[in-house]
Amino acid sequence: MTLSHVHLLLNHVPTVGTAIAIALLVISLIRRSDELKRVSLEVFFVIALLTLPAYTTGLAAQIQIQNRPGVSDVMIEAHEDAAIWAFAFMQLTGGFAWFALWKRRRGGLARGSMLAIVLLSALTMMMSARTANLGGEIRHPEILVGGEDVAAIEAALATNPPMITANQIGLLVTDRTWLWPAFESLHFIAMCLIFGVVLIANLRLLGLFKVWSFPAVHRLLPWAALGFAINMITGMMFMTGSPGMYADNTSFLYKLGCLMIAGLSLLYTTAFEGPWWVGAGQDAPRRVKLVGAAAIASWLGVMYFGRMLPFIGNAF
Amino acid sequence: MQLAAIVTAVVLVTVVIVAAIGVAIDRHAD
Repeated sequence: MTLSHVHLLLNHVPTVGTAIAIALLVISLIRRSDELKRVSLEVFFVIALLTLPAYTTGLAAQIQIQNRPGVSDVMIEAHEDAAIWAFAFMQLTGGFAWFALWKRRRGGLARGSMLAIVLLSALTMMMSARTANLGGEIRHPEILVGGEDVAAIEAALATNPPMITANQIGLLVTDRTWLWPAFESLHFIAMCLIFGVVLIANLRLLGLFKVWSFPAVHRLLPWAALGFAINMITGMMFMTGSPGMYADNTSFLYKLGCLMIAGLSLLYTTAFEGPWWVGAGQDAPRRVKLVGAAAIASWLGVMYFGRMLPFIGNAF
Repeated sequence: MQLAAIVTAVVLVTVVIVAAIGVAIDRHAD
């Protein structure tokens, strides 16, 4: 399996998934169901998580398909330019959804976050739909309507260029000598922040530090989420600046896989019942311990495969 | 030398901003 396969597997998730999450949120508001609202927030988080490989593997698909007869590079770039904004708004929506879940678990209401999620998810839906349509037009002429052809679409795209393109963001990284080392430093500092909190929270679930209840360590989770956000931004900047280093890199594929498990474990420890009810001096149930072990192992995997990008893979 | 100074400044400023955001979020914990 290559990263291009992963892109084909996941490229409908942001559009269809966001639509499902919005539908769940609307139904929860109509039915005044707190449980359904929680589920919609969880779906927003999972969709944001899956959008990460959906976006990054697109670069691998681009390298595979560009320069082939009948494939327009202009349309591929338009798809990429739309995707980077859809990705950013999707991550913002997922971030607010995570914060609302964390606050609700602690008994708060997070009204501001809910409002932000409603607005951001609507924007994300529009951006994802446009991205999906532009992506489809690259290789599916059957969706061209009203006698459109590739030349007409290229001309239309040229008359209405985006304010900031993915290429410009890439050049921002590669043209400034200070940016890569600064972001690399921040990437490692944020990694320490994430892993520190992950270790404390999940070692507690595995039976260490029993003097603390899980809700006591649960309040630290936003620090891990902040680290995650920093690494998402810095990591995406590296990838946009030097896509060739990641697009066909086996180690990056494994890193993405570990990141998905790590993200899901963060959702579990943030929002689910199992860990929350582990009080001071108590032992966590076996299934909760299993998630704790998976969380630590997956973050170790993220770090290992990240470090091995140049050795197992072809980066740098 | 100039490069190291810029990198250090960017990292320090970002760390301070992130710490401030973290402290602000922590206020929602109780």
